[in-house]
Amino acid sequence: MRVLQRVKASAPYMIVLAAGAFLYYKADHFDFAHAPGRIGPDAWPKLILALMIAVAMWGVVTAFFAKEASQSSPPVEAEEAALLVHPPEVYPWFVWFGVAATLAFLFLLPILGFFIASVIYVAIFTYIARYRNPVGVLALSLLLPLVFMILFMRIVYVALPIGIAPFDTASLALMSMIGVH
Amino acid sequence: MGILHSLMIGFSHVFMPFDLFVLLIGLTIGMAVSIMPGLGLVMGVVLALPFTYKMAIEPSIILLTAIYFAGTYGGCFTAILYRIPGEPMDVPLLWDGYSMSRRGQPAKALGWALFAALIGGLVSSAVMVALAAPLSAIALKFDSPDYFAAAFFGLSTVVSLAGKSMVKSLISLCVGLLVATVGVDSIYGADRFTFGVPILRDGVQLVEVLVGMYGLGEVFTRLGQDVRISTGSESNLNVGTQFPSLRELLQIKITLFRSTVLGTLLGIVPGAGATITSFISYGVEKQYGRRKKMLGSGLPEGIVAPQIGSTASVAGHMIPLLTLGIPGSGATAVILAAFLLHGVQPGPMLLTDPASRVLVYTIFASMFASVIGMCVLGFFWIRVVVRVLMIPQGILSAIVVMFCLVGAFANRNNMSDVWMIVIFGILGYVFEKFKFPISPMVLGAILGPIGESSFMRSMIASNNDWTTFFVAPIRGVLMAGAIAALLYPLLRAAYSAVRGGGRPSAQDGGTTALG
Repeated sequence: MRVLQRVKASAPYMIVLAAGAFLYYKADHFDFAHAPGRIGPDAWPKLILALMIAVAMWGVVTAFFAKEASQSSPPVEAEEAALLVHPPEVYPWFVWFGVAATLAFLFLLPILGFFIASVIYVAIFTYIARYRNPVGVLALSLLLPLVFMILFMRIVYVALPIGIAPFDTASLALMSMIGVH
Repeated sequence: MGILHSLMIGFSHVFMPFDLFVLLIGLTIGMAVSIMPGLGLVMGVVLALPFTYKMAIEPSIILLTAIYFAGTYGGCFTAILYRIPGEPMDVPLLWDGYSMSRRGQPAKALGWALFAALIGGLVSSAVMVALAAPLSAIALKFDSPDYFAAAFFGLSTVVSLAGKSMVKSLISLCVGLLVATVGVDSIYGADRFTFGVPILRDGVQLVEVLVGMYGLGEVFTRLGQDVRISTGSESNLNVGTQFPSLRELLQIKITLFRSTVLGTLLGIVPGAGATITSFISYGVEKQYGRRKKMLGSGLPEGIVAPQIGSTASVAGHMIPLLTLGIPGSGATAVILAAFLLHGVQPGPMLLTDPASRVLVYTIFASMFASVIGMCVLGFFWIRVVVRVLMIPQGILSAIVVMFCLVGAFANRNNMSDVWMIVIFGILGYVFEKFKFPISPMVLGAILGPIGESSFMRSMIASNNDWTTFFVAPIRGVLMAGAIAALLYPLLRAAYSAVRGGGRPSAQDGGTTALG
């Protein structure tokens, strides 16, 4: 295996190692009143972090010095079954588009209100999830938020965000339409 | 009051119209989510949780338990007929169930699976009812070191059983345990890992971890995958179910017995979810079965063993929850959350208080009703439920993601919870991408608070003497079991190396999840 591949294989463990070291430093600086002869609130996190750091170090070493993958392959049936449950990732960018759309939705939710923000979000998310029937996308993006409003505002009595002016007007009109006062 | 009398009172509650309606809804949801790849029974239970906020406690727990039970059975239909495992636990059914179906006996294969689910569910539920009172009596004698030993045992078994890489399992577990430490410490009042963010002072809610890691994380992962579900011809939807004859049942009586015992016992162990139980049951059959060499060619034993194992594990999981208050799986963690939301703390005291005793036996009765109900539904209605497969993945993803986000908001009417869920969703995707198992992380977050509080109390009471965790029978046995569970994978690897390196077996091929 080339050096770059070895570094790539051990990178996740290095990140865990760095995070572990940083959190251990933070745990060492918890602000509390020490009681003599008693363990403090840092003891348990430090125990866990010590274990995590040790395991991550072991992971770095084993991933970096791992031998080339052997030619012997696992049984075909097991390999096929694993692929059926977890197909390989082929569109990594779609994942990050989906994450970005979700973060934008959370940001816009208190401003636009649940209905308007959800209509936009569902349309975009369904498109990112590769459902491209325009009529279907439109119908789903209008119906799904409405169903959720009825379900959560009328049945579960959850006060979903209505947004700020002027968007709250649409939310309030819709709420009175479905009988939520 | 005798067990049977209490159970009859429980049945009278279950058969009240609303509870029965909730049970049927739960069974249908459980089957639907287990059929659809990308959903799953834990997600089903998680997504149903917000709807229990306004219910009484009995229907709430009945709903979630029914989803849990049915979730272990519904997936067999698509695994056997279409070679689509709705859940990782259904993978062993592909080898013999789908083979039998391809040999022209799909109705027979479905009959075996239905019978296995029925036997596994009923026997393990009966065992649970019988064990609940004695185990509660033992649990009443538990003190802090015993609770720590029980939590440590659960954590060690999930590490040894979850996934192929012990290093990744241990890191995943540590992340879960660390997540549980975030917030203000209950003994000293110290801020831990809050980084000045006010919402982190309340700690991380378990529901946020579960919905994020299992729900949103799975949806994000699916966005990157080319998931195409082909159900082939429509004719498969019209296949009936053919029960095995008495003679055929007697031929596999050892398998029936072995898998039921294994499923129930493994279910009691915190961390050993339905998937692990299903794979182990199949693996044991492959190793010790009468026709082990023919397994994989469409034998009933290959259907019965994993199906019994996964269904029987559900009742097993309820034992530590109801007797100790320790949830052993993702689904039981959600059920624990439902208990706590209704102001009831599961544990040994449940059976001593007459009012909560009725609740416990109502749950027991609902488990019997769930098993029978899911089999009846499976026989008559599964052809309707299985049509969820025809929903395009894009639509399904949008529905699930909305349930996750709105469900999280509904918990406390708080946007911070929704942000936390998205963070855990991204973490879940990263875990999947780098092949870190999720189940140890989730179990770490579940058992972490129990482990820490009992550890701290024990250490303070014993003046920091760590031998306190080994010096009494219960904790000594549990700690020894935990150490054995941790050493087992290492010893197995060493044994394989000495023997010349064994190829991974079929039962190692699946992934694990806390079912």
